[in-house]
Amino acid sequence: MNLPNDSSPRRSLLAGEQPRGPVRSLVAFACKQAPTTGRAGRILRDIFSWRFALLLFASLIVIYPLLWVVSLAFSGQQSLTLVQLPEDASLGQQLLALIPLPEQWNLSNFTAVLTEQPFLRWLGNSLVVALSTTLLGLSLSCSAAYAFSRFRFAGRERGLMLFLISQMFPAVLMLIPLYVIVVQWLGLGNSWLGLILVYSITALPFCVWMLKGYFDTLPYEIEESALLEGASRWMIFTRIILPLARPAIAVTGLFAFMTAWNEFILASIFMDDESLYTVPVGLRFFVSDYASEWGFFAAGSILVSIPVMLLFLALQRYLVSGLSAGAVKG
Amino acid sequence: MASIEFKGVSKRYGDSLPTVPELDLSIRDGEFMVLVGPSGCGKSTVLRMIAGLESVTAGELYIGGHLVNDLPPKDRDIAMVFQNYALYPHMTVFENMAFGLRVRHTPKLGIERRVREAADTLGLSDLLQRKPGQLSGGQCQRVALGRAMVREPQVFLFDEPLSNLDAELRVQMRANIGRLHREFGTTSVYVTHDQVEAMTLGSRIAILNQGQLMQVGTPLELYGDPDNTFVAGFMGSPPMNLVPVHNTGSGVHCAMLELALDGLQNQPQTLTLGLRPEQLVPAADAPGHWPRLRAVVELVESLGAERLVHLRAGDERMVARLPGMQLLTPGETLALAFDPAAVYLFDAGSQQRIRHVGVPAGAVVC
Amino acid sequence: MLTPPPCRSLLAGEPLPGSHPRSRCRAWLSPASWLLQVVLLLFAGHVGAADTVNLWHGYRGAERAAFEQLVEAYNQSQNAVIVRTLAVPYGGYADKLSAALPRGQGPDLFVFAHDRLGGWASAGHTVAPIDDLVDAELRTRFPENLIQAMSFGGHLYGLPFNFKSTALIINTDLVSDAPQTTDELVAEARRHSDRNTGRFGLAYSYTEPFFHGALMNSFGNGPFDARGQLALDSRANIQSLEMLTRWVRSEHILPEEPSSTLVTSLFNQRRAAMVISGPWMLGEIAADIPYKVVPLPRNSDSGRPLAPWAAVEGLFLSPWSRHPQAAVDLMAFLTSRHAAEIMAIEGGQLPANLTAFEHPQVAGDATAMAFRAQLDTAAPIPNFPAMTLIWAPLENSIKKVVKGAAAPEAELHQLQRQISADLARLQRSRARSGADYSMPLWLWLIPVVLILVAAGLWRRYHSGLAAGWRANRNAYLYIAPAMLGMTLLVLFPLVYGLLLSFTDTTVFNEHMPLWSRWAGFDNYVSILADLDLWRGEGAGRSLDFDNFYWTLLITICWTASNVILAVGLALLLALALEKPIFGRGWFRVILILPWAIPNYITALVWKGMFHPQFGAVNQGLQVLGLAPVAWFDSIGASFFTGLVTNVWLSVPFMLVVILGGLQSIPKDLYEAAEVEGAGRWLQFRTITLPLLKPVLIPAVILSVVWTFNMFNVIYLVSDGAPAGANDILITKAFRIGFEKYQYAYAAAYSVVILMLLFGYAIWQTRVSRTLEAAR
Repeated sequence: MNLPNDSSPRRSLLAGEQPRGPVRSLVAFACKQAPTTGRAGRILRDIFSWRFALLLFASLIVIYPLLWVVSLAFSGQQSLTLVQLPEDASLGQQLLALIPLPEQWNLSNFTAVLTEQPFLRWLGNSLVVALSTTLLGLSLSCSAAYAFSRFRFAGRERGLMLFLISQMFPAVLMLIPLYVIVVQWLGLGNSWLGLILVYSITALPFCVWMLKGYFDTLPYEIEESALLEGASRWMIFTRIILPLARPAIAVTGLFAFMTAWNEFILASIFMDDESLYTVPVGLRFFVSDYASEWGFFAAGSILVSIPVMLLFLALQRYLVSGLSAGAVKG
Repeated sequence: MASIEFKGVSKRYGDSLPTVPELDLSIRDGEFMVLVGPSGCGKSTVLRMIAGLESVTAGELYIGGHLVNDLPPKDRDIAMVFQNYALYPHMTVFENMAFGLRVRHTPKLGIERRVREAADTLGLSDLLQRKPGQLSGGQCQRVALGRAMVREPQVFLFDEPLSNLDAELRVQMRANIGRLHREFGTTSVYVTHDQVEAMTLGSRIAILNQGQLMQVGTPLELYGDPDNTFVAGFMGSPPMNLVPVHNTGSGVHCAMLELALDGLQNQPQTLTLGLRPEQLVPAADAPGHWPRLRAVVELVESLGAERLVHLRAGDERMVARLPGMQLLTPGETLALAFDPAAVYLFDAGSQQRIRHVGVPAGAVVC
Repeated sequence: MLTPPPCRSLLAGEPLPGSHPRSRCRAWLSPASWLLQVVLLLFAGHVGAADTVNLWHGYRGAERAAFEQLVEAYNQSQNAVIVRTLAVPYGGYADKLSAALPRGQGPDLFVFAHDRLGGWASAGHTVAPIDDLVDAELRTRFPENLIQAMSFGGHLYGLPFNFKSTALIINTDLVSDAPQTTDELVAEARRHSDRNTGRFGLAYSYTEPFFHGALMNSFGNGPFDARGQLALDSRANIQSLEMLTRWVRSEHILPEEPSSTLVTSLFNQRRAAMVISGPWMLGEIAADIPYKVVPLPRNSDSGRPLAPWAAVEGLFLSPWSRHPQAAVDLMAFLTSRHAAEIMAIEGGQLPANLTAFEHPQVAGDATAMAFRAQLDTAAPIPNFPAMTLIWAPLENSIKKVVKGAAAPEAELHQLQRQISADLARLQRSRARSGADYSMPLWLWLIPVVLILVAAGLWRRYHSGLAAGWRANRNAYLYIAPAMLGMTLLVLFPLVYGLLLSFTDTTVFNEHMPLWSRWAGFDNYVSILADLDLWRGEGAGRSLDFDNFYWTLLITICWTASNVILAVGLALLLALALEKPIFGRGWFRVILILPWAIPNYITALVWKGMFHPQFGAVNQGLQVLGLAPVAWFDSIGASFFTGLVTNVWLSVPFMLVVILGGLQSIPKDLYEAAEVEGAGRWLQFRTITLPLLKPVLIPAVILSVVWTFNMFNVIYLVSDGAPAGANDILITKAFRIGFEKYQYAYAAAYSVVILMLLFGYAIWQTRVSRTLEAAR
């Protein structure tokens, strides 16, 4: 092992370290200075700040298109009622007319999506595929990222570059070769294993880059200490590094999950059994060249995004701190 | 417990100049050896070679009589305390201390007992369920100590363990470490750049500079009998005054002083004269035969019971540690005297000590 | 029959007559057995019993229920084979077939529209002729024009199953008498048109060639002349475009930027009195709209009836089927009178076996009979291979003409030249591939040379390599699994693409040995050496949007503007979100929502919002008293639509990255700066930005790569409008590969993309490394 001796810049980044000594007293000082006008006053001050205005505006822009999806899904219809501005109405009424709301709220699109096709089953399939992808992708990327971060070996830079290159070749052109490999050579057509393999590898570059960045910020001394205590490399990796990198792992895991969760074309090409389809494939049944049932599609999209949103909420805490530390040394 | 022996050990990164050129050093069983030197002198590298965290480029390294050049760290039975504590942030204090034992498959009851004992010794008993993030720096350092202790290793290594603590805690922890060593008697190697720590803790001190071993010895040996200007300038606070002087064959002189000495005939033209600040006394209080010295006061640092007086004559500077409270103002000329026997002489070229130089009786010129 | 929308019969809960219990309970397996299946399926390979006949189709809803009912009945009726069906969603169907069939995989038979037949038959290995398996009596079930649709080059390749064509659908509240001629149609439509209130007499997707075919065919022979030669610029076709332009630009009876969704919405809101559409639309007509389907009127100019294109769903036989006779027997069963009646009555289809229309329940259905009557004048879409090349360019041309950006005659001449050139390229590859089957001797030298070079390198470096392996064995072991996967699933496709780019592979010679397709650097030369950005002469001179350098320019603008905007906005939002604020948690969740919802639908919603008349953006502009913008007519505006959508989609990712980065900046730095009197802006510039750099650089590199290859947004929102000017390299490569069949040319495009991005990454990492060194 050839670790650089001087790792002082990293020392301050020791995970879990809290401000101590002078920093802590500075923080305490700053807190004392904050005006204690009470909760209501603070909220009022917040609401009239430029930051709040900006966030509100951005949130509206984010929500508006989503409102169309929601309103389409709950309209019970397949196409949207078009907005037509009332001719001689006040500005307020005209603006109100721009807000997409269905004429009547109706769950029929959802019931149709759930009952007409084995949608829940496909959702389950997707969960299995996406979770397995996450698992496999993380195992591969954690160990690779660890090596990239901790060992200095010949081909290290080139290896990292190779991961980047894989993102550069247009995916549409990968279709046929992937089919040849997975279905013809490996005989993994019509099995989730093939999909899981391809998805994991697809998610690998992002995961490796992000995890490597995070590992770079973990102090070497922690590992050296464990090494002296008699832990093997593998034990250090699994018992020290991985638990420490939990935030980054959560984030990259989410990314891997999303990669598998939303993929449509490979899943529809590889699978030869409807009961094995993943949910994006099932969703696309509603879209065809001639007629598309956008109401169903919107309802299905909302159902599909619910697990992702739950995951988002659960990981939100990690999401911010995870990438942060991870990206510090990228 | 074990001795540690370096035989011609060198360390080099890539094709650069060696960080440690060739080191011969033996650390006795049960000894508290302090490696001291300015930052970048290679002392940490030496420590990490003992730990097995750095490979040995050439030479032989023995621990307890066994050649360990190729022995992985986990098989060396060594514990190390790091400057930034290197605690596992995701584990509680208890788990941190128990980790090494668990790795070695110590029975559960044994782990429990040894961790509790160590925690008691270090006053950590109430903190066992906390995580490092919830501890203060001193507490973290004690956990790191405890973690090293519970394993009851052959050798303790300390890598500047106190440099992240504030002054008061540092004194307290220094005492702790000394007490622990006296209690357990485990061979310890301690790296620091702080000579006070070195003086107070070490059974022996090894001074390193640019990878070279300057001198090894007990604190008093190094203080009283330095081999070269580096050691002389390093030990003691404030350090020894070192002034270039001209060799006349029968004595030395410079702008500040003039001193007759025997045995200088075969020595080079320019020498370095060393004189500890505490050896300078007001001329009025000194025996008449002591050489005198006149210089201008530049700065006075009052330490309460005593004062550090910075003096200048020409381009030469000295510091004197003077007792008393009498008023001294910068700019005034001060007359001091010193015991000629307390003078050290060094070869200005090789920086080595010139011994066997005597003071001729009664030959004192002011 | 055609009236019940696909879902309703199931919603009502009535069991489908004749549907076998097995197919129903399959969807409702108990969780435990499902879990067991999950475990088994994870490791299961290909399932295929010897006596199974696999049948792929793209049906869903009622038509699927009827279809599966028939298959089930067939399975009951005989013991020789078991038919297994697989429904494939439309979006992946063509790709699935063209991935599987040429490689000996896939179904025994499949249902697909007939217009690709020519391409498949010419390429070989995709469909098998069934002349020998079908007797004359079976052929007589179908009208001659449908049999012709299923034939190519003198062979019959399948049996027609159902057909689809457009007809006129009128709102009987608004229009009482069906117009008999186009003059009557226009006159009637003008009565119901008022652009300002958003009402139109007629609505249909007139820019789509499939719909415009009705006009083309009523003037002449369509895109091909009687001998099957490409004749896009024939007098008849020019006249058809002139008539359409008149309808749009002087009569104002048609809405702008039509799409099937818009047409349905207009009809459902009584804003369109008449629409031209097919049976697929009927299920979406709102319950309270009274309507009637009638055949299209007669063209007053040419005197011939409007002849819509008919798409024939055929049953095709795979050349790899081990049970060709059984497959054809199944075809015969599915096209029998009984089966056709079920498809018509329960599936709401228009069966190709016209005897089904004699069934009283069908004969009494005016709608069905109207489509049946329309079939007499309808023309099957030509099934020449060249047809596939025409769709997208012709649509672009129609759009240009109806927007007044080009004259019909000049535009069609130009189109004729362009497609002839594409065709010639395809023909060349076909001609070349036939020439030489034997492997040239020098090819054997390549592996020999490779082995020698490898051996030489090994001798030279093996000691170093071995030492490297010993020193870092651990590292290599950690990386090995990931590298293995990368090599297999990334490196191999890359090498495949690279090899492909040096050939002249098209759909026609795909199955030929590699050396017979070898073309050296031809593709690269024709991509990179075409420096002439203009086409046409004199007044007709215009930018050539197919030119590589134009597309490159657009791609660079696209990538740069996207990344800059996304990073800038994300930075702004992150700064606003960084410190506690009222509702911070909510804002954080809302602002990352676009990442969570499938972008396929959000991209389409954005496209809808940019609709020139009915889109929310233009309506909002009008509310504010501004003029609406024709979003898809100019290069800049169209570029803007894609930009807005993509920034909307990509800000969340950047936001998360930057938020994290901000958190890792020690707060005391700001305090120190404040003490020294630095203002907000100075703090941002001297502390925030430099300390964010290590976070931003990898994120920027990755998002540049992703944006450069952002296929979905361009394809779904602006679709390269106007006329391909806003295509980026990746969509262009896709169009060349999948709309023009020039696989090798598309591969060369992809390799060029790879090289550009690689160069960028090298440059960027070098820059960031110097930055890192400076820190």
